[in-house]
Amino acid sequence: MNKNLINDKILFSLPLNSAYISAARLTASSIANRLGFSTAEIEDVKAAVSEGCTFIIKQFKEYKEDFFNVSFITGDKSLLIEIEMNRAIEHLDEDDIGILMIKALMDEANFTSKNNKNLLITMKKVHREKELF
Amino acid sequence: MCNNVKYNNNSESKIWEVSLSGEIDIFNSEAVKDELLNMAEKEEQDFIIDCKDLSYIDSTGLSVLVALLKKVKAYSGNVSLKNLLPNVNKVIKITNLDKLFIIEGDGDE
Repeated sequence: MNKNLINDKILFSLPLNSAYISAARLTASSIANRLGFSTAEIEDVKAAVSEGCTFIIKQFKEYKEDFFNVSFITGDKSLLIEIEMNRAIEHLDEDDIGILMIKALMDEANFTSKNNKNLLITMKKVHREKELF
Repeated sequence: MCNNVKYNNNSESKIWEVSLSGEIDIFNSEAVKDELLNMAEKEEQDFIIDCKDLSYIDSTGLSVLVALLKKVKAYSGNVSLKNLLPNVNKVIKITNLDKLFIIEGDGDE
């Protein structure tokens, strides 16, 4: 892990348009790669970020003019990702296949709402594996 | 016509031979769904789906495969997935879809 990359925050906003989810995937992949994550770990991060964005877009599809934020916070052998929408949802479907995938792919995953005014998805991946080849 | 789906109707074996490629996510999954379900409507045959060029599939893409399986099972057919890349194989396993589809070839990580 490159010590110069700890505690950096990379933040960007995306419109609620599925065309740009691939941009979130590419960014996730690039940052995880820079942090030295293994190929399998990078794929996990990429898929989890994509599912988080997909979940937001599915939940708030009627607000086409809105944006949501995706933040990447680098840690010591870890990457924390926050995906936030400034609107709340009435009910979180824990059986949503995307949510199940995020929980399975990441080391930590939480879905919270602050004062019922937002939806915040946080997920963390810890770097463990060494590259096999 | 969806760019992520190529197919061949093998009239001898009566099988839809499909090749999925690129990334399938919420942006294009509806188009992929339309293409696959149209094929199943046109000819009620088994499907063999080659995923060697499928670099990524998300939950909406997996839902498309399940919708296809449901349609094919309705006429007692089968859907096989083959040549899964490790990351695609992983999401199919963690969602337990490997129990629903016939998985061919080595998709182990």
